[in-house]
Amino acid sequence: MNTTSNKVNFSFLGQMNPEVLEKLLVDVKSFVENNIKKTAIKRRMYIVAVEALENIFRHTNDKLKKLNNIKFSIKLVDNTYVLEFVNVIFCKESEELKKILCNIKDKSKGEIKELYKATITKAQITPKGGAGLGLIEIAKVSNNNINYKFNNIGDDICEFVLEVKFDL
Amino acid sequence: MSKIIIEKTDRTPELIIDTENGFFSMQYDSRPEDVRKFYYPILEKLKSIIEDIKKVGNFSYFKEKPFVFTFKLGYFNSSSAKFILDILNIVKSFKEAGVNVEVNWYYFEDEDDMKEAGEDFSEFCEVEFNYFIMEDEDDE
Repeated sequence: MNTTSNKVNFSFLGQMNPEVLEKLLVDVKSFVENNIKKTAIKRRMYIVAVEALENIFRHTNDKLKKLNNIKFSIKLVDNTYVLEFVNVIFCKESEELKKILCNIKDKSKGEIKELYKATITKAQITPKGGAGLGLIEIAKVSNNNINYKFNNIGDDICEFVLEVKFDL
Repeated sequence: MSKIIIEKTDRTPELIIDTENGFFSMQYDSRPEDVRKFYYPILEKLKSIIEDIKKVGNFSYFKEKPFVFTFKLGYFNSSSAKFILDILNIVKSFKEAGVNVEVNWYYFEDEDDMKEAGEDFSEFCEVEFNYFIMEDEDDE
């Protein structure tokens, strides 16, 4: 018999604001400290949470803020921790994200490092405080163990779903 | 000549710039709310030091004894990484101006990622680092 244990260990559903972001990151830090044995995995999971949640906080369009219910969860599926981030974006914004993610997807560790180097050496910090490195950093620390999809939920809005996996 | 000390907060690192003794130190986490507001003054200060060194044209003190840059970082986000590289590129310009510089990168024994981050920065800024294992977070 092939059984799959699928346990939600951490979940959040709500609107993002500076206070929520801080509280979530404190809770994630505490979660990984208490539940993950390997120091490297603890650190990498925390890095992914920071980069993904800061991205959501920085890049959520003002017009979508009120209806933007952020979903964030950490699940243990068999021996793999799955971090899932879901946020609402305008469909037109998905094109830029697809371009970045397509450029990352399927790259080897060495290629990700080269992309990281090329990006950080030319990076300009945006007024929102981003450096264009968040998704590359996520790919770098997760050994590119990422999946994504865009679900249309209205005429011009869709859900951006980002999933990052860590094998224990 | 001056000494600048910025105390650490939950989101920003402790920073020390001691021009007289040729010492720069950065430690703990870096995830500033306004990353530009936090790092721009530090970059400006380091640029002004190198400009002063070039103007005076006599920095034998730093030739004999190195200007030491110490990094004992915990977590830093990707925006902070960009500014850490900016700091290291200024370190490179110290070196190019003839200043004897030493970069000491500390990491915890079980955090190979942190050592690798140092190795990447060293490669990106083309400055050699020394690597040390931290005994505990207050290790000096």
